[in-house]
Amino acid sequence: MTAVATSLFTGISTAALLFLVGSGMTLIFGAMRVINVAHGSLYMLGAYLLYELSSTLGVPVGVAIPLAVGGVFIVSVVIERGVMRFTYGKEHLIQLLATYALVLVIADLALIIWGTTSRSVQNPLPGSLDVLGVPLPAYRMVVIAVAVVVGLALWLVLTRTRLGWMIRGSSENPATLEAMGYSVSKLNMVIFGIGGALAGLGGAIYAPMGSVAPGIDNAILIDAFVVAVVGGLGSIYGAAIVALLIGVLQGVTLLVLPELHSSLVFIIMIVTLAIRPWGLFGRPER
Amino acid sequence: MNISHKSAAAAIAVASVLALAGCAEAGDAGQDGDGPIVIGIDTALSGTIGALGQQNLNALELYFDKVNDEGGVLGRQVELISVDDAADPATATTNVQNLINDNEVVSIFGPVSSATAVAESKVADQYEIPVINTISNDIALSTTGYSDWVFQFVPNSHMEALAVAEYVGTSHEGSTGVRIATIAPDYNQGHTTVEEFAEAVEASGVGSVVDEQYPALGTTDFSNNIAALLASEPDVVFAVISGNDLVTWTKQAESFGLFDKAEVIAPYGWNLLQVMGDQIPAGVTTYSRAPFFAIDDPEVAEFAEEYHARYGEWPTDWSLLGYGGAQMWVQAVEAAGEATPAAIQEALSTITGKTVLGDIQFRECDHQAPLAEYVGPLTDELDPTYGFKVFESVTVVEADRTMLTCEEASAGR
Repeated sequence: MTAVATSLFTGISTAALLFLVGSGMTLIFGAMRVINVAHGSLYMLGAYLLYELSSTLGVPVGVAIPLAVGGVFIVSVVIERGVMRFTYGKEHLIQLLATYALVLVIADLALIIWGTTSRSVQNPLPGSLDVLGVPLPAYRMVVIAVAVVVGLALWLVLTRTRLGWMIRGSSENPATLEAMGYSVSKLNMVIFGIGGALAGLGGAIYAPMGSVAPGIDNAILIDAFVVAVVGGLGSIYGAAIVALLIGVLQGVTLLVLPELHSSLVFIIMIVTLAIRPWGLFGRPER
Repeated sequence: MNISHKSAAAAIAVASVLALAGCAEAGDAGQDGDGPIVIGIDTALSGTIGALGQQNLNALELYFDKVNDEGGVLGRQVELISVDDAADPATATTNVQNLINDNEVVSIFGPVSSATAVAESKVADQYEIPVINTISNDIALSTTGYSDWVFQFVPNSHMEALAVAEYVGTSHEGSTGVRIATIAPDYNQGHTTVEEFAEAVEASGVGSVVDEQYPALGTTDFSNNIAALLASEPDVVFAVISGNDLVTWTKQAESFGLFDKAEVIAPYGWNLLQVMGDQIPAGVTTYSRAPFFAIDDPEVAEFAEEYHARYGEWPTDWSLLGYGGAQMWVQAVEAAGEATPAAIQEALSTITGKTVLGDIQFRECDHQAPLAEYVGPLTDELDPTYGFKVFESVTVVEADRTMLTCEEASAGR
């Protein structure tokens, strides 16, 4: 029973991290129809920024995380202005190539700046809380809480604010939005910045739990991509539900069918897309 | 245009002859008299295990620069070409072929990942180029995948597994029913290490392996594996994962309280000890292939100081093993009297080289160097000299207690 409870909890915390990263990817695609392969790179950047702020400069982790997220937001805006805006309206292949080029550039820059040796950020909340005999890592509870807050905030912004209305309008009919006097160009800049910042938040939140090193960009990208695609590109709550599904199933599978654990994510993706090619909560491409 | 059958057959015959001539020439590469002796290293220099490859390369460059400053080998400078395989076997295969065909290397130093080492050994065998592995230690490299052209200057996975099993047996002497869980990377080296460890520890009678976890290399979230380990209620956890994965696993396992519930044995090399510092929980036991800080030898100390002066950090196991492997290679070339692949291979098979890790001779039946493994608990506090945790006490498990017999090594080839 303890094993099942622990697996469920770890699955939910894994889901929290996947949601943070996947929601950014799905937001960018939903609003801008851009597949950002460099999303994992922004995640890695968030982790490295947190390392520099907390371990090198001594900034408390709780303060360093939002600062790192801010840093990734700025970098994302620079990327949008300098690269992405020239790819809008063009074939997805052009966007894939552009963002893949960014992956390579950012990876090489990271190697030049930080080298191959991993970095470690001190966990600000080490140890676990005993909840009915089940050890639940304290820091993972914070990760879950942050993901819930971010999810609610995204929902509020998208459904209750002018910005959210503009984002939804841009995804439906950008020409009409432009005709109404709103700058779609500036809106894209903000959306890409927010999406990138969500990836950076994922990386910054992850850093105290793991190793900050070359390769973490690729490690998260596949899972985040599956969350976004299976949830339905553009659907935030689709990303949340699929992240939860994947996180929990991964934990349970490891207990009962470990042979399937490493391929579970891909099985889910193949089965879902075979039945609903636009994802569980997505809509067919316009 | 119609081509007759005879013309086509003639063209094919000519092309075949030229191709065979090209293969033959690749095997004779790099031996010409006055120019540098060209050697190569294909290893992971990027990705999750790139740091290990870089540390290994650092030591090779340090050594060969010294050799060149002293006049080179057989009066010729040594040129070391390095290429990155990112731990991908397909990339490694291409890299090694290019090193042989384009750069005409006469020898190759092997990679970090055992999967890529197996791929490289096939190419080396095909082109008859000697390879010295100083990190990748899959037992298959000296048994089922053995090649006359490949040499292992590193304790293999069998030796490592038996060393840790011996330590567990000794430290739990008199006990029975010790529950041991394992976690290892999901590729051949991880599986074979656990398999051999399990067999040895069960033979010792102190206990048995009750759970085995095999996360993929590069896993960033081990929480599910850790939950499964905890569910097995182990007394001891034997972790075969290394590098960045070990940093991640340690932090996550600590947050789940695993280190409070079981004795953890894991391979914390110097750089991980330095990266993690006091984030490594107290009471951890580590095992190491060549820890410079635990080997009381003036030559090791001298090497460590030179390495530290050049690179600003202390050498890791991979550095020390790479250095020793390079020493073997130079002495083999000198003994051979010529820098041809065949002569170097023959010399490596027979010489006793004086290395930083002692006088070493590759065993004839499997080309395995008889190197010791070091196992012991870490100090709870950081060492004031080095700034990282060191062995509180170390058990040196000599190779004669861990190597396969020649019959065992040859079986299944």
